[in-house]
Amino acid sequence: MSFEVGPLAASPPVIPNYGGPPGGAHGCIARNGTFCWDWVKGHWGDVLQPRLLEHLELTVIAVGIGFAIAFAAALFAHRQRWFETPFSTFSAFLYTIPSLALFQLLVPFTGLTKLTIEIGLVGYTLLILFRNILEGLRSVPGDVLEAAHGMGLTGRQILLRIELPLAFPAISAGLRIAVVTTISLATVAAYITPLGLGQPIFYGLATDFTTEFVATAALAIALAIVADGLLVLAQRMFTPWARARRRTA
Amino acid sequence: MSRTTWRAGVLGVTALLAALLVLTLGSAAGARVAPQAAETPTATTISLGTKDFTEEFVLGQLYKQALEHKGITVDYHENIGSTEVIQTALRSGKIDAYPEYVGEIVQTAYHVKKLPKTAHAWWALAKSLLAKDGYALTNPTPFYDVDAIAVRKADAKKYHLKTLFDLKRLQNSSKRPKNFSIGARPEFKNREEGYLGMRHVYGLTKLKYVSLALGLTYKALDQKKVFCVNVFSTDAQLASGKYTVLTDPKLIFGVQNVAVIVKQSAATTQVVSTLNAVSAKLTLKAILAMNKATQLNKQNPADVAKKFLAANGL
Amino acid sequence: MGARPEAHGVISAFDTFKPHTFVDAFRFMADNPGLMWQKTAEHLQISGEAMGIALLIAIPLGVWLGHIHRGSFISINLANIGRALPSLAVIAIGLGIFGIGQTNVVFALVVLAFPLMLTNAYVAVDNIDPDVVESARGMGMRPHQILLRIELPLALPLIFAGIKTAAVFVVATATLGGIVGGGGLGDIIVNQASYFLKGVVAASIAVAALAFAANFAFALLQRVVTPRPLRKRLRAIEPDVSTGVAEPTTA
Repeated sequence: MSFEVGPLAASPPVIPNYGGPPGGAHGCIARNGTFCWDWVKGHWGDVLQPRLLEHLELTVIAVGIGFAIAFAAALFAHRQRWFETPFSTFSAFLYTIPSLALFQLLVPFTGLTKLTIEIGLVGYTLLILFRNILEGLRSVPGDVLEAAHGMGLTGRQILLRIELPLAFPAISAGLRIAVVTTISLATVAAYITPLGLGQPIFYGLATDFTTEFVATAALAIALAIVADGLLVLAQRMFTPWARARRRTA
Repeated sequence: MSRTTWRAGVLGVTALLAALLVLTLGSAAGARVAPQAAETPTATTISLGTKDFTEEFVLGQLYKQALEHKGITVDYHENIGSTEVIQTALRSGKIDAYPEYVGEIVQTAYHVKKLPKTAHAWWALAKSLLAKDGYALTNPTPFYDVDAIAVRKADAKKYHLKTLFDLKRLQNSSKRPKNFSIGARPEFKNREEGYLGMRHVYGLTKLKYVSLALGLTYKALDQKKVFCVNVFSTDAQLASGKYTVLTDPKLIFGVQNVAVIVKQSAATTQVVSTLNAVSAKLTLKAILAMNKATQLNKQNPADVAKKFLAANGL
Repeated sequence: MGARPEAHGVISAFDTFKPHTFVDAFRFMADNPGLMWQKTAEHLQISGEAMGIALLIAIPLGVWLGHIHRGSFISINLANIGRALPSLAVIAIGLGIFGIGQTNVVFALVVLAFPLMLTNAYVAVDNIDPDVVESARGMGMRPHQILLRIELPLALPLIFAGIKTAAVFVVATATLGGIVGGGGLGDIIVNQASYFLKGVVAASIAVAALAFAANFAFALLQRVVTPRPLRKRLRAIEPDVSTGVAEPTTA
C-alpha cells in the first residue's frame, strides 16, 4: 500500500536549516539534561515569568472568591446554626474529589476555559476557609460577648469590634492553608486548560523535555514557600498581641 | 491589643480585598474586551485546537500562522488531548477545527471495521463520514505518521525481533524477559488500532500495559522500565539508531496522513485553501526536519513553523 | 449543531455528562471488577509503601526530638514548608531524579507526608505537662521509661491526628502517579479516552473511599494502641497543632 497521497506539491517544499540544539550538539539541552540553566535563563521572559504571573492571578482570584463565599457562609452559619452541617458537608464532598478528576468533570459545563479552573479551585478553598472562619468566630468567649452586650453594643458592632478581631488568627491561618493549597492545585488544573505553572510542566512531560518540567516545578515550589512565608509575616504584623502573648507564655 | 493596630489590620485586609476585586473584575473585563479589540469588520474568526503531542504542536502552529497571515483571527487551543477528547471538544462546539490523522478519524472516531485498501480511499471515507455530521476535511498531507512499536536495538538483536509476530514468539518462549510490558499513552490501551489490536490480532496477551504521559515513552525504554513502547513513525528520536521499530504486517495501525477537520460553517473557501496550501508542502522530509528541531533540539514549535512558512512563501 | 455523533458510534465522553453518569460509574465498577481491583490494589500498595517509610522515619524522630525538647524550629517550619509544597511539582522533580515508575511516586509521597507526621509527633511530646514528667522522674523512672510509659501514651492523640491527615493526603495525591507511570487509580482518571467520564467518576469514588478507609484504619489502630484509661480522650476532636482547627488535605 502506498501512503503518499494527495496532490503532491508541484514544487517540493523548501526546508529551512534549523540548526542544532541551543547550547551546542553536546550541551545540556542536547542531552536532555535534568536541569539546564541555559534554558531557564533563555526562557524566563517568554515561558516562566508569564506563567508565574498567570499562576498568581489564578490563585488570587480563586482565594478571593472562595474567601468571599466562605466568609458569607460562615457569618450566616454563626447566626443560624442549622446552616453549618449542610454547607460543610457540601464543601467536604467537593474536597474528596481528586483534582485531576474534578477539572475533567467540569469541562462539559464550562468548557476548556479559565472559568473551569477557577470553579474547581474555589470549590477546594471553601472547606478550609469556612471551617476556620466559623471556628474563629465561635472562639470568642461567652462572657466577653455578654460584657459587650452589657455595654450596649449592637450586633453589628460586636461583630466588627469583638468577634472579627478575635477570630483573625484562625481566619488568617485558614487563608494561609487555602493559598498554598490553591497554588498546588492550580498546577494540576493545567491538565485541562494550559494556564499557569502547570502548563510548562505538562508541556515538558508531553514533549520529553526534562528541564522544562523540572525547572517549572522548582519555580512552583519556590512560589508556594515564598507565599507561605509572606502570609506568616502579614499574620504577625496584623496580630502583634499574639506574639506578645507567646513571649510571656 | 491596641486600637490603632487593629484599625491598621482592618485597613490592610480591606485594601487586600479591594485589590482582589479589582483584579478579578479587571481580568474578567479584559477577557471580554480582548477578542473584540482584535476583530476588524471583514476578518473571520476560527477556533483551532491541537492534540497533545509535539508533532501536533508544530502542525497547529503551521496552520495557525498561515491563517493569521491571511488576516483570519485564530483562537488557538494547544494540547487539548487525545482523539477521543478533542473529538468531543469539536462536537460540543468548543473548537471549530483541528489537524487530525486520517486513520484516527476512520478507526477511533467512527469505529469503521471494514477498512479501505488505498490511502486515498481512507481519506475519502473519512471525508464522507465527517460530511454527514457537518464537518469538512481538507486535503491530506503527503506525509504520514503511524503508530508503531519500538524496542531497544540491543533487545531486538538479542531476541531476533523484526515484526510484531516476533514479539508473540518471545512472549510464548522461555526467554520472555521480566519486564515484558509496553509503555504507551493512556488512550492507546482501549483501541483496536492500539493495545487491544495487539492482543487480538497478534495474540500479545501477556504484554503488560504501563500507562505513561506521551513524552515519557522513550525515557521509559531507555531506563528499561518497559520492554517496548508505542512511538510515532515520524519521531525524530527514531533516527538516533538506539531503537528498532517492529513492523506491523497486519496493518492494525492504519493509514495516517494528516488533514484538518473544519466545522462546515467555518470552512470558507479562504480558510480551506489556506490550509490546503500548507498541507501540500508537508512532505515526510519536511515534517521530519521540523520534528527533529522540536523534539530533539527543543526549539519552539512556533518559531520552527514560522521559519518553514517564511521559506515557502506562505 | 444537528449532528448526532452516537448514530455513527462516535465517542463523545465530554458532552454526555448527566446525573446518571454517577449511576453509570457504579455500573462501571460492576462491569470492570478486574480493572478496579487491580488499580485499587496498586493504589493501596503505593500509598502503603509511602506511609510505611514516612512513619518509620517521622514518628521516632519527632518523638525523640520532642523528648529532648530540641529542634522546634526545624520540625515546626518543616511542616509548614511541607504543607506548602505543590504535589505535582514534587512528582515532576522526582521524575527528573529517579526516572519513571513507582519509586518516584513513592518518594514524592514520603516527602509530602513526612513533615505532617513529624511536626505533630514533635509537638505532642514537647507539649506534655512538665509537672507530669517531673513527678515520674521523682518516682524514680528512667528516661526511656518516661518516654515509653508516660510521654508516648499521652502524645498518641496528636501523633495519630498527624498520621491520619497524612494518610488521607497520601491516598489522594497518589492519583497524580497516573501521569508519570506510577500506576494506581490515577491510570483510570487520566484515561477518560478509554474509560469515559463514568470511569473517571468511578475511580474518583474509589480514591475517596480509600482515603476514608485509611483514616478509619488508623483511627482503629489508635484505639488499639491507646491504653484503656486514656481512651475516653479519643472522642474529643484533636486539634491540628499549627492551625488550631482540624485540618483537611486534598490533591
